Amino acid sequence: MATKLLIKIYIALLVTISFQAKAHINVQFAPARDGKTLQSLSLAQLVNSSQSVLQVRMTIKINETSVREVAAIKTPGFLLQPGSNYIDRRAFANASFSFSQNYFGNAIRQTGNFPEGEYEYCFEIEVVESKDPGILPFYEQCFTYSVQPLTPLLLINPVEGDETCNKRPNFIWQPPLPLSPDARFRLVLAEIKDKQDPIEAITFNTPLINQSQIVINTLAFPVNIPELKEGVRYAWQVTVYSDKTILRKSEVWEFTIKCREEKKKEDNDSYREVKEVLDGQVYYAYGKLRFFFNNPYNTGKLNYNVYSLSDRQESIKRMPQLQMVNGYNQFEIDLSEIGEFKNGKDYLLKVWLADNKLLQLRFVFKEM
Amino acid sequence: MKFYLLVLFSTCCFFAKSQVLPIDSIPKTPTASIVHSIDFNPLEIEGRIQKAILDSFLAAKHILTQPFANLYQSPIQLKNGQANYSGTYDNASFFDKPAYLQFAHLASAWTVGGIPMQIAYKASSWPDAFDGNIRVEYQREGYLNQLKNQLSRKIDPKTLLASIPDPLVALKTNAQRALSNELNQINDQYKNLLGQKITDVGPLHDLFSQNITTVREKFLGQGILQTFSEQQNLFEQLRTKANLGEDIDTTQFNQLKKNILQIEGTKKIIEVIETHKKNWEVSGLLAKMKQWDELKTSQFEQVMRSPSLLSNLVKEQLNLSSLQKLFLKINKLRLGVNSLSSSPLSVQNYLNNGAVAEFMNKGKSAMLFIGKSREGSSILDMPFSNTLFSNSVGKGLQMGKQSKAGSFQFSAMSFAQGFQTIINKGDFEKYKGSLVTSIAKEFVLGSHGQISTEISRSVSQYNNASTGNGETAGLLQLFSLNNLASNTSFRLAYRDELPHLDLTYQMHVKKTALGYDNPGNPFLNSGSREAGLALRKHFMKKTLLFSIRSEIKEFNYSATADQKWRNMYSVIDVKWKLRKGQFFSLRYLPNSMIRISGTQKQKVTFFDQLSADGNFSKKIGSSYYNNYLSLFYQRNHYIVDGANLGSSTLGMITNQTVAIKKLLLYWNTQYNHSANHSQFVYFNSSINSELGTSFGLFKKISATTSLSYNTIQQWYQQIGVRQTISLRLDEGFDLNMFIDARKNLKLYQPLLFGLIRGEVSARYILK
Repeated sequence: MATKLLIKIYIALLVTISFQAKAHINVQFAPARDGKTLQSLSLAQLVNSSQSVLQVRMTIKINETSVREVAAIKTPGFLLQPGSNYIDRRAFANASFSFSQNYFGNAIRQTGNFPEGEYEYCFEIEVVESKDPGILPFYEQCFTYSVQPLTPLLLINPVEGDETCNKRPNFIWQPPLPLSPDARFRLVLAEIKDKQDPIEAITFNTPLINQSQIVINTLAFPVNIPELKEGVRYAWQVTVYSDKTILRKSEVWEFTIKCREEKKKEDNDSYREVKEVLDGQVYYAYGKLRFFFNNPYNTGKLNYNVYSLSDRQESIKRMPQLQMVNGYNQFEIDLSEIGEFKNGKDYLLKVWLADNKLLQLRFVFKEM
Repeated sequence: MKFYLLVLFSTCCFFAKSQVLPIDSIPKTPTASIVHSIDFNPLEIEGRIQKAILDSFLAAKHILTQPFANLYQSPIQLKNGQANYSGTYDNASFFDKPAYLQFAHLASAWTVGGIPMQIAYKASSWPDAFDGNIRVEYQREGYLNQLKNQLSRKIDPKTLLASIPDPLVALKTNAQRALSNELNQINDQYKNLLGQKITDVGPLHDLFSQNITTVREKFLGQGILQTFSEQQNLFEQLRTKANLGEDIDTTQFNQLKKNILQIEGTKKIIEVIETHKKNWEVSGLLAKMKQWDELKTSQFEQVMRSPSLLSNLVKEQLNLSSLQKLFLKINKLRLGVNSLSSSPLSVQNYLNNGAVAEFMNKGKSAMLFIGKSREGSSILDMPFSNTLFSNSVGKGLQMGKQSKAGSFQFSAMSFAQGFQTIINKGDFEKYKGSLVTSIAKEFVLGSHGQISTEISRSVSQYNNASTGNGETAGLLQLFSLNNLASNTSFRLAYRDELPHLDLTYQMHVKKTALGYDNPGNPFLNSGSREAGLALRKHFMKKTLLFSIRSEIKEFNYSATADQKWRNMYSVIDVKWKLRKGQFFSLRYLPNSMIRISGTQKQKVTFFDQLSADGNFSKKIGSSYYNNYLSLFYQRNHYIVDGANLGSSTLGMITNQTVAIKKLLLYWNTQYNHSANHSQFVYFNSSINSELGTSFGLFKKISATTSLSYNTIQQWYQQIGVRQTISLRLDEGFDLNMFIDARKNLKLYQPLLFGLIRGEVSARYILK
């Protein structure tokens, strides 16, 4: 009972003194912004309202309602200039970090990230040296905040590795949750140069799109930006921020603008002669059949047929109609378009000239 | 004779070991069956060519002692250089007012002591901020190519290929012999008058490649036949005279008789050659010879491209300095700013300012890196001045082994982590260290399958922790069984391909523990687990493609397992490819984020989209028309200020292009019709339409001019003009300019972008 009375008197005295003391140390801390990771606690500001430089030591005690103590950071001494001060970075880095052996303590020790929980952040400042008699030897200020870690910012469309013909694509992403009302997005799109990694492109290349202040989870291709170029690889990334603090960055995804099909490597000796006598050579027709012959007769419809040698030697029905001229003739037929040719099978091309002279060419159809 | 044939045949079938024919079956002239019985073995030919190349180098080692000419006169040479500059004037970025953002990039290629290096410098700046970085990189590919070219120059393909034993030699000799015998018989018949003619035919093996018309022209050309005809007439006249008992010149008569006989004999010779040549063709011998020549040449080219042979040659044959030899084993060497990606649980997308070196030798590799992380170093991040970037100084070693059965990789890394804002950038204060070890293994399954696994653990230590301290404690923690699950991550992926079904598929699972901290991969999500599958199948000769990719991710940041977030994401595509780049495709893309609290599930956001895209083109005369059209329907449910907002949008994108010779006309329109019940302006209906033309001027200038109109309901209505100009002053200098200017017709709310935006870029090739 006596002890309780003594404490009450002590508190009353302290209150009286603090009312008398004009100077004090005030902690400015925004837990919603800086209370989610261990290192961001260093962004708390200490306001020294006295006129003199103070030497202080600080202890930040972190408690969680379900387990009580989680972690404590005890800094060595550092100086507080009059006015607003960040916690001395060297003192913070060289602080003694202690963590409780519980779920929260272990997780924070490992990654510095605070798991989901109801936290209390108590900043205890011990004044080691002061020339201002108005400064008390000890200040304590506590803050509470319910930490809900943000989920990652995930990209949705254009899909990673996409090949698209849309030169003004819309961008869509999954925002991190739970999201504060003042969170905004910034989207960056940059061209990926030859042999460059997307992460380098997004970090160091000239951005084609660098759009901030986006409120929702989509961005229509900005109207004042030139359209994207055929055959070029692009990297894009979205950043979510609040005021001047980046909250999260998405992965970097890439896509390519591709409207035209690339021309595939074609057979080197492109055109083959159709001859009276079949030679024993194998001619591979890669997608297309190319042949030539000499017509000593008049111009007219080309009388020809292609037979499958592997099946029942039936002729291919959907061959296109062709016209031949007197003299040298050269033709190209896109076999893959006809759709009756089977990969790796043998075929025979027969061409009849005006005197019923028969020219032939044997080939194997290969898909491109 | 039999022995001779045996020798010939054994040579002939050198490459056709499976075919053993009785000696008697070798005909004097080739037959189709015997020709077709000879098969070439490309692998064996390749082996012989390789051996021939190696032998030729062994014989001429002395010529290659000086691989780098002029090396000592100019040990450092500039090969080429390029300077790029670009600037953007815009206010869509973070600043409230317009800002000018500049980038400069200098790239140059050098050889230093015969070793190709690339040196690049990049600088960027905008209001109150500047960033510059340098990078030096060893060009391994260029180095190997340079050495290979040195070697290739010393090889004469013609001589080399002639030294490869010809499997057709017996057939050819036999064929020549048969022809020669017949020619001699004719000579006998014509009383040896044809000896000179037969000699004039030349070496018989040349006849394989000679055209019969040429041969005929040579011996029985128009002039010769004319003379023959005249001589025949004269001879007939003389004979008639002689028959009538008149006096004739006997010498002239006999000479004419001899000449006529000779030409008749020559005709016989040509006929015989023609018959033989026809037989060589019909039997397939000529085709087989051509096939042999082509195969030999293609195999030679293949050998010359194979890296293993030439690397060996380089090492053995070139007199390289020890430094030059060392660089053969270096796979990667970079100094300055670079990005490292190896595997998701070791280093990936790690931007580093320091040094990276990778050594490779006989399937084994070692990679070392050291440097300062460049997270947050992009100039674009500088306006976010309150952000605390967890910068780090990283050191790492990665050892790997690769074989046909798979690969193995072990990584050990340590990161000294600091914390910094943009303001105190560069000022490093370590407060924490992380040690990360990873083991990755890949197994090859069958011909196309692959399993890849990786497991990694991280431990953290503080400068001045009250419990345990220093690297020793860290290492002890790394191998202790305490909190094993809380700081260990793993992934498992399987992928396979079934080529006969045109099918590829893969699946993966990954778990990143909440206590796992690996600064080597900035995009790892601690406290997550995920599973995914992907499948691609082609139908109808690859004209139709079906693909699906589906992923489920869970994020648990809570002490209880039932408090978590779940993201589900899928992409389902069907693409039908038509001719000439035309296609039609459908995509369904659902995505949702669900909050799970115990038994309660709440869909917090969701987005799904169904879209149809098509690209159609048509050539009309010399003009070309292209139409890209995309239609989509999407639902987007989102939270703003704690309130659920949703919209459904029906959209269309169309790009119409007509190219008439060098003139291009285009009309692009994006239209979104939105059913927006939330009255939230960002979801409102919109139109953006642009009509423009591209054209060339004075050969060196190309330009695009367009007019545009765009509006978002209840937000703004604008018209705009856009101009681009590309100038090519000469081969080495390009200049591009772009300007977009707009005028508001109506404005209800502030814009996200400015009314004027400009870009300028230039490229100059120094050498």
